[in-house]
Amino acid sequence: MREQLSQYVNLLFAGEDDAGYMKEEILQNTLDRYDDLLEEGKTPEAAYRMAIAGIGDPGKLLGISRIEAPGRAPVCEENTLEQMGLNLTRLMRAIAIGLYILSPAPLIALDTIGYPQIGLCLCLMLVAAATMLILLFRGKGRNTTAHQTDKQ
Amino acid sequence: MSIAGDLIRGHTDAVILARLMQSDSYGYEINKTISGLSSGRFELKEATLYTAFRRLENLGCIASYWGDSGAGARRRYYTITPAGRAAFLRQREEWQQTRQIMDKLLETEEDT
Repeated sequence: MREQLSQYVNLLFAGEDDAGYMKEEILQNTLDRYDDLLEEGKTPEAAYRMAIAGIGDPGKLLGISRIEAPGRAPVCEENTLEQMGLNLTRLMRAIAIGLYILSPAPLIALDTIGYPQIGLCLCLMLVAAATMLILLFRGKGRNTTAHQTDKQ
Repeated sequence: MSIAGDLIRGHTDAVILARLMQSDSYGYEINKTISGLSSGRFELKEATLYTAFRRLENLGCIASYWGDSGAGARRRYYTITPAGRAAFLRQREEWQQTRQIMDKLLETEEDT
């Protein structure tokens, strides 16, 4: 059971890079509690459950080791992902607008050297590509915005 | 108990500092003493205790060192700093004033 407690605490901090000291301290406290509960006459299963319950909300602890380590800013992954989604949507929209503006360019250029049909084809392809970009990333952008509004 | 628990949790730092005013100690021992003093009615979770230690350490109220005790187990001990002692005395004074005010505020005619 002591081994299982150790595995449990290890799992709790599996995603934390700098959890070493925090893990060691919390595991030692949890093992102390487990030993005490056994001494009080609890069954190993009950003591195991109670020792784990004694840890409380591990969410409080995540990110603390990073704050502890100097020079590393705490990272909020959810926000970063959201921000990335939003930035991607903006980038794609900008590219699409750029494509719309540039779309007549091949038409004009190829028309002057006698290939207006090819120019028109390229122009339409650019318009199609720009429209596809906007349609593909519109849904995503709207979700992201809605999500942010919810949080406020 | 839950209301009393919330009230006490608002004073977690003072409760921990009070233990360290007595002697250096480590997480589980501090928690066990707290549990004993409150006749088992109040106890801190590991996560709460640990975050309080880090907060107090960052504030310069406590310092920690690793010590061995008995069966080869390495424990992180905490010791109170002069700044921590000052903070504790201030917080205890604040609590005594709060208690006096609350006693007055909750007094009714039947009591007098």
